[in-house]
Parts: sequence; C-alpha cells; structure tokens
Amino acid sequence: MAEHVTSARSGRTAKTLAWLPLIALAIFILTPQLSSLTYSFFRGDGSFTTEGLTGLADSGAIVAPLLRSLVIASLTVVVLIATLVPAVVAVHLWAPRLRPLLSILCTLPLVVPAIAIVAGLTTVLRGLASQGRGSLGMQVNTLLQSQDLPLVLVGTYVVLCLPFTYRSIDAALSTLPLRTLYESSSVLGAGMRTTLRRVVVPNIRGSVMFSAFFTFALSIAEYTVAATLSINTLPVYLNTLSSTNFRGSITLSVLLNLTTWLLLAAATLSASQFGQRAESAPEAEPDAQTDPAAASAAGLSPAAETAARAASPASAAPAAPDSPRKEAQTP
Amino acid sequence: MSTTAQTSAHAPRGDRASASDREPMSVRFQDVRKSYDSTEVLRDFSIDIEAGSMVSLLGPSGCGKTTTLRILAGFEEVNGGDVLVGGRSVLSLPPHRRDMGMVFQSYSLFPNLSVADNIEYGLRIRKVDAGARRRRTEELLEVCGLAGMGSRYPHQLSGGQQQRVALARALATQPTVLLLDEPLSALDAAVRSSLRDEIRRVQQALGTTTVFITHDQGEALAIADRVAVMNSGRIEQYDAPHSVYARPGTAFTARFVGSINEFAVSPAWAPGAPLPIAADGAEVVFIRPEDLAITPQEEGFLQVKGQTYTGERTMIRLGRPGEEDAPWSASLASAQAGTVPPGTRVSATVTADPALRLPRAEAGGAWA
Amino acid sequence: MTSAPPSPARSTGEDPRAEAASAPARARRGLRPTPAWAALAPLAIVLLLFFAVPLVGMVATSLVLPGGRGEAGTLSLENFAALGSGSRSMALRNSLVLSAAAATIAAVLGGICAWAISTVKSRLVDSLTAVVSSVLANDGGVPLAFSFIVAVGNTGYFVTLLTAVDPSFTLYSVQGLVLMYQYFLIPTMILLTLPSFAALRQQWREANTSLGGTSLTFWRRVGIPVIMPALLGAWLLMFGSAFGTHASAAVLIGTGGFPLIPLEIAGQLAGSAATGGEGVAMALGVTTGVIAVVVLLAFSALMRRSAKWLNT
Repeated sequence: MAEHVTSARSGRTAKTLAWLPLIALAIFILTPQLSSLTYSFFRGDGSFTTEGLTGLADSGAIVAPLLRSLVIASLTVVVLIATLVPAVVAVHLWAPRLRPLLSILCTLPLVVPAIAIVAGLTTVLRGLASQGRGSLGMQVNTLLQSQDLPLVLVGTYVVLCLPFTYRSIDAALSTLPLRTLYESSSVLGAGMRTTLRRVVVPNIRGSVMFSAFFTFALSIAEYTVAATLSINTLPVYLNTLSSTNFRGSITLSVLLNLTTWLLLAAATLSASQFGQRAESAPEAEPDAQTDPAAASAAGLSPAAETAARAASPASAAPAAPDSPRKEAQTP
Repeated sequence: MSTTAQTSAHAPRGDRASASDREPMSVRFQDVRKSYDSTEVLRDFSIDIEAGSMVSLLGPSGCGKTTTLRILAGFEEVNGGDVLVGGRSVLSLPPHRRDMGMVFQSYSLFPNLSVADNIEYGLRIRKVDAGARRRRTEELLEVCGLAGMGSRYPHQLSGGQQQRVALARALATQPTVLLLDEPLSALDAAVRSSLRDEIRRVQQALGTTTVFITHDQGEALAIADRVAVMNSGRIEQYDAPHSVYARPGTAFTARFVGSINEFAVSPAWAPGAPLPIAADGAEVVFIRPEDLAITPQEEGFLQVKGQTYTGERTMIRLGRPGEEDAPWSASLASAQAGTVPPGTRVSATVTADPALRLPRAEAGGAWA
Repeated sequence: MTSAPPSPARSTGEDPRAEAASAPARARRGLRPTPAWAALAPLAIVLLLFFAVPLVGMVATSLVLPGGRGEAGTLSLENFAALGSGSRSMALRNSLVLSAAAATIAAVLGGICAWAISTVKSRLVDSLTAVVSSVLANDGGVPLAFSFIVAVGNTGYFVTLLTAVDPSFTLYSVQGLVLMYQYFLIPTMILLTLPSFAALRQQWREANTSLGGTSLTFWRRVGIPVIMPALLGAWLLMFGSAFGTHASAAVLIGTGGFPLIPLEIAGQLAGSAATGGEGVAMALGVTTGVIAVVVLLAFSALMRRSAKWLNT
C-alpha cells in the first residue's frame, strides 16, 4: 500500500501533519491572553465596560508603585550595561583565561532560583540590622531597602539578568576579531577609549540593545524578590489590588504583560537584526584575491593595497595598513 | 517484505555475503524530464550506463547532475520519461526499496553509532543474522582500509576516514548501483586524490555499477570509465575520459574540461601553419596549452605576460602586445621556461590537431 | 574571584609603545591597576554583594543554630533534619512531583512542537518562534497567573472544557499548576531543542532510506538517539525551572494551601523573625540551590555530548 509513496510525497504528508501541533500551541498561547483581555473590558453579561481601566486611574494608589518600578528598571538597565559590557570586553581583550570563570559566574543565577537568592539576601540584611540602631550595618540595611529607591532590588535584578545578557554580549564579541581590531586601531594611533567607542561598541550594539530591553522587561515584571522583601513594586501592587478590584487587577495585568512582551520582542528582534549586520561586516573579502598569481608575477604591491582598501571600510574599524593578511584569514 | 524486481533475484544472503554474488546491473535514463516550479532542471535527459562500469556526471553547479542522482535514488520524482535499472523501471519503487548505496558530500554517518554499527545498519534492516553481519563488516573494514576501527565513533575519525566508512556502509548491502554525490569535495587535496584512487580500486574489485557526481574535471577524468559532461539539464558529451579531453564534442566541453586556447582562423588554416590568424577568421579552433609551441621572435604577435610554475611544467600566460589581458596559455617543460621571460614577444604554432574546430557562429562564449 | 591582573605579555597590547619599554619598566607597570582590573571590578562587586554574599549567608545560617542572647550559635544540621518533617516534607514531595510532571509533559509536547517547527520549514513560523518562544520562556510572573485564573479558574471562561474531561480539575491544584507551567515550559523546550531538531541532517534521513530504512527506522535508530541528550538536558532544565518558580504559584496558591518549596521558603521568611524559622528557610533555600547546581552540571554534560554528535 505504501509501495508507491516516494519520500518526497511522504515528506509532504509529514509537513501537513506538522501544522496540527502548531495550531494547538497557538490556541494554547492565545487563550489565556484573550481571556484576560476580554475580562478587562466586558462584564459577565457581555456588556462593555471601562471600569477596570478607570478604576486603576481613580484610586491614585498605582502611581507610587508604577514610578518605583520604572525607576528600578531604568537603574537596573544602566547598572547592568555599565558593569557587564566593560567586564566582558576586558576578559576578551586582556584576560581570556578568565572567560570560563566569568561564564560560570554569569550562568549560575540562571539555575539558582530567585527565591533562594532572596532568602540569602534576607538573612544577610537581617544580620546587618541586628548590629543595632545607628550602626553601620543598620545604615547599609536602610539604604538598600529604602522604599523610595530600593537598591537591593537593582543589585539583585542585575544578577538575575546576567545569564541571558552575558551570553548575548559574549557571543557578539566572540564573532569579532577583537584583538586584531584593537591592535590595528592602536597602530593607527587610536587610544583605548576611542577604540572602544568607535570599533567595539558599534559592533555589539545589537546585543547591548537586547540586554537593555531584556533587563527592563524582567525588572519591571519581577515579583518574587520584591514581594519577599516587602517592597511595593508594580507586580506586588497588582497582586494586592486583586483582592479589592479584581477587574482592575486583570486590566493592569494585561497592560503589564503587554509591556513585557513588547520589550522582550524588541529585545529578540534587536539581537537578531543587529547581530546579522555585525556578522556580515567582516566578510568583505578582497576581490583582488581571485588571481594572486597575476599579482605576484607582475611583482606588484598595488593589488595588495587594493585588497586592504577593499577590506577595511565595510567594517566599522579604521583601515589597518597591515591588515590584508589578517583580513584574508577571516572567512 | 515485498519482493521487488531487484531483491527477488539476488536477495542478500546472510551466510555468504560477497559483492561478486550479484550480477552488476545497467542503468538507463529515457527522456527524463524534471522541473521545479517553472525551472526546467532536466530536459529529455537520456543516458545508458553499462553494468559494472563507473560513470562520472561532470558539470558546473546547477547543471542537474545532483538531480539526476536523486531521481535514481528515488528522492525526487520525475515529470516524464523513465528510469530503468537492470532493464526494469524503478520509478514506482519507494527509495528504501530501490536497493542502492549512496555516499554523500558531507559525511552522513550516524553520529550515535560506532563505525561497525554504521556499516551494519543496512544489514540489520534486512534482518541478516549477527554472525554474517560481523563477517561482512570485517570484510568491508578491510577492503576500505579501516581495519581495527570498527569500535570507533564518527567524531573520532578524520574526514577521509569518515568517507571510507560511508563507502563501506553503502557497499555493505551489495547495492545494485552505488551513488556517489561529490564524495570528495569536503576533503583536503592530499586526502582527496588518495581516496579517489581508493574508491576506484574498491569499485573495480567489487564490480558495482557506480555513478559518481563531481564538478571537478580532474576527478571525473581520473576515476571513471566514461564521463558524461552535463550543462543546463542536458548531456553535452558522453565518452571515455581521454576522448572528452582530447576530442571535446562541443565548445562547452572544451572549455569546461581542462584549459583551452581559442583562436579565430580562416577556413584554409591547418595545423603546422603559423598562427596568427585574422581576427575576423570564420572558424574557431580550440587548442590545448600543451599543443601550443612558442618561440621568441621580435615581431611575434603574442607577448609573455607571466609564468605560473607548477613543478614539472610551467604555464606561460600569453596576450597581445600592449594589452594587459592574458587570454591564452602554453604549457612548457619548466626547464625551458627561462627562454621566455615575461615581456618576451613570441610566435606560436600548433603541434597537434586542434581539440575542436567550429564555425565561428557556433563557438559561443566570447565569439558570440 | 575579582580578577587576576593580565600577564605582562598580554598587557603590552594596550599600548604598543610599551613593547619597546625595558623590562624593569614593564615590571613596575604590572603593579598599577590595569584596565582589565578597572573593567572587571564593578561587575565583581555586584556579583559579590548580591549573589555570593547572600548565598554564603544562606549556607551559613542554614548550618547554624542560634544560641541564646550574646552567645555564639552552634554548628548543626538540625535545620536540614527539620526538612524531613511536617509541611516541609510535604512541600518537598509536592515540588518534586509537580516539577517532574510539568517537565515531562512539556518535554513531550514541546518536543512535538519543535519537530513540527523544524518540519514545516515556514519562514513565518520560524521568525514567530524565535520571538514568541523567547518571550514566553521568560514568562512566569503575576500576570500569567491572573490570565489563567480568568481563563480556567473556578469561574473561568473555559473551565467547563477541562472539567468535562476531568471533573476534579481545579486550577488551584497540581493539575492546575502543571497546566499553567506549560505556558512557559513548552516554549523553553522549543527554544532548547529546536536547534537539535534542525541539526538532524536531511542526509541522515536519506542515508537511512537508501540503506532500506523507513522513517520509523530512522527515528528509532538515529533520530531519537541523536537528540536524546538534548531532550534530557531540556527536561532537566525545565525541572529546575519549575522547581524554582515562585511568583505565579504564589499568586495562585498563596501560602499554605498547597505547600511547595518556594512558597514554604517565602512563608518561613515572612514569619521567621519571631518563630526562628529562618534557619529552616535557609536550609530549604540551600536545598533548592543544590538541586539547581546539580541540574546545571548534568545539563551542560548532556549538551556537550549532543554538540559532539551534531557537529561531526
């Protein structure tokens, strides 16, 4: 019976079959989201309502947690980028032997659950507080847990975001011939700062943007750490709100979810879009390579010069006079 | 298990497995047509492959050679025509019933199986008993130069070794036809030529009808009994290797196989008479570099533009005086290359019959 | 752990002129903080303060029984022994069952979806998958729990569909949590295994076919064995992820209703100042952490094996 089915035809059958689980998955993904959206704007009898939305605005209680969450998320992004990017660049440039260590350290927070980290934080903070009123420990405790600017959340969120952001930046840097770029830039007289600004950062822009979006999304939606430390951020407020104004909390949850999704989607897109550009840059292969014998037989260096000129401008790196050999090595 | 044209006559027997048990089979493509969407890949493609012989399909990428092989293996359907193996059509057989051995360009060894398990794979499917499987595997390991490597895993082998295993795996079931899809292109130059000779030796020893796909003309000429030069879905020439090289049938073959010089000549010109030749000559002759003799001469119509030393021979690149292009070349024994340094004006004569002579209108290429 | 100063040979790269400098000059430079130091220090401090110190503090607290006022505590495993009893042992059992069930179901369903995505070969599906799965894999927060309450909570829009199949179904139970966890676990599974499915080469299928095998033979002898390490690795990671999930479970279950390790930790922390449950909470935290590290080690071992196979 299957005698006459060639592999091409059975491949088509499998292809058609394969759509079924995907459709099921799409329904599973959309159902809860659409349910929330419907509930936010329609009463049980099907009539339209905006009371969920207006209820949120009316009480005014949302303002403080919202602002707090925005400040925390922004600060987390700044701290993460400012600490992670230099560290990864430094390891790639000057201390490649430390790379495995950095990689392990940055991956560990992925598996150690937030609840375990916050448990440790609590015990440390309590330890500090137990030193007594007015002591240094108490002051540090108060500073970290201040409701206005809870630095403890910023620090913890940076740690929680490290696994994903580190991988992205590390991967982007790995595709760059960083040391060569750096050396050729130095030969041309660029200092370290110039090199970093003009060569390194533009090439990892996609990953940096990914990191920023991702970190913001995670920080603004994080619940466990904030709730355990009793800091009233937006998700914590959302949970409290549900007992008094359920429709309002669902509306807020839809909004928060939408924000998170958009941020994460932006993160993913920026990683892939800019990532591709960074990868395509170094492949400006000198065309003059096609007939190396011709160049050498004529005893010419002009060909080599053309190669150097052809190779350099495509990448953001300043032209490197000694680069044709190196450029030729990169595929 | 159904009995098909192939397996009924010569079902692999577990007790004594040796390729000589099986009569080699001929392969025949009859007016095969194949197109993807609107692109025609094969146009009334016909070829006869003699039982037990090795044929290479040679052509640039996109000429349809891989499609031909995949049609034979059953991975592609045809739009028309017929494919016969041993005189019977195989088009209605699904690929896993066609009983063909296939070796792919990138090593397609199953990574989770040891070398021996890879080789036994097809035998297991055919439910050959364990003792016979082991004997057959040992035999093939020996034949393919892999003795003692049966318990290794693919990732522990070099590229050349992996391809040997792939060859052994394809041969284990005594296929009616062995299909080799650019099996050497992923390998280093040195490994490539030794494995090429190895494949030829194994093929001759077992006498399996073999189709070898390649875009490398040197490989095609060295390995095959006959070479089919393909271009845009058709066969340009199907001949013995030396004929394809020495007597190309078309301008395409002449240009694709080996390097060639093209000169416009008048119809009256004959070998022995000096070149040049009127630029507006009515015919085009195709001359191999080794058939072009050059002698230094003040008013020679050619000038040496450069030399490429390749060991025993040196390629002398030639062009018109005052121009930068070097469209022609002559092959000289390296010892004589010193007599024509770059810049020398030379005259040229032809020492043998041209490989091909065509009216200008049919020469195509730059003459069109 | 902060950073080792780069070796002199490497540090010369930062200033080409220094290469001409004499050896003593170079030695002197080695003592100054190099750019590598300065660049690594901030991250090191953050990791130290908000990761290393808490974890060390947690381990220390878990091992110490508080002494009386002014006395030093005593070293003891009593906090860990306490995990074996009462609601804690129940929580541990619940968490293990829940995580294993959720991970297993997600492995099967997500595996099928990953196969389907690699089979349909649609550009639209591929790009949607890339974005959606990485978004959903990081979802597990409060809004997720709320949308499930609305969809399949006790009065949810679609709960009747589920109770029709299983009359005892309620979102606030193991089944409910397993269902909700699928929302981020299936995308995680797809994210982790899609590359492996994509790496199953067409040529392996064709080699199998030309040797006389059917697609059943292919999956049994080659396909499944080759992706097995990746599947197992993904299962482990999902197990760990489910085990540590707190936010959405906390919203659904609250504290106490259905004990789970993460909820138990939060509960012990909330009331611990008075009750002395802090040590127990830390012991729970250490247990979670140890499980996590074991999961990570096993995962990376499996992934290395998978990579070795898929890259030959």
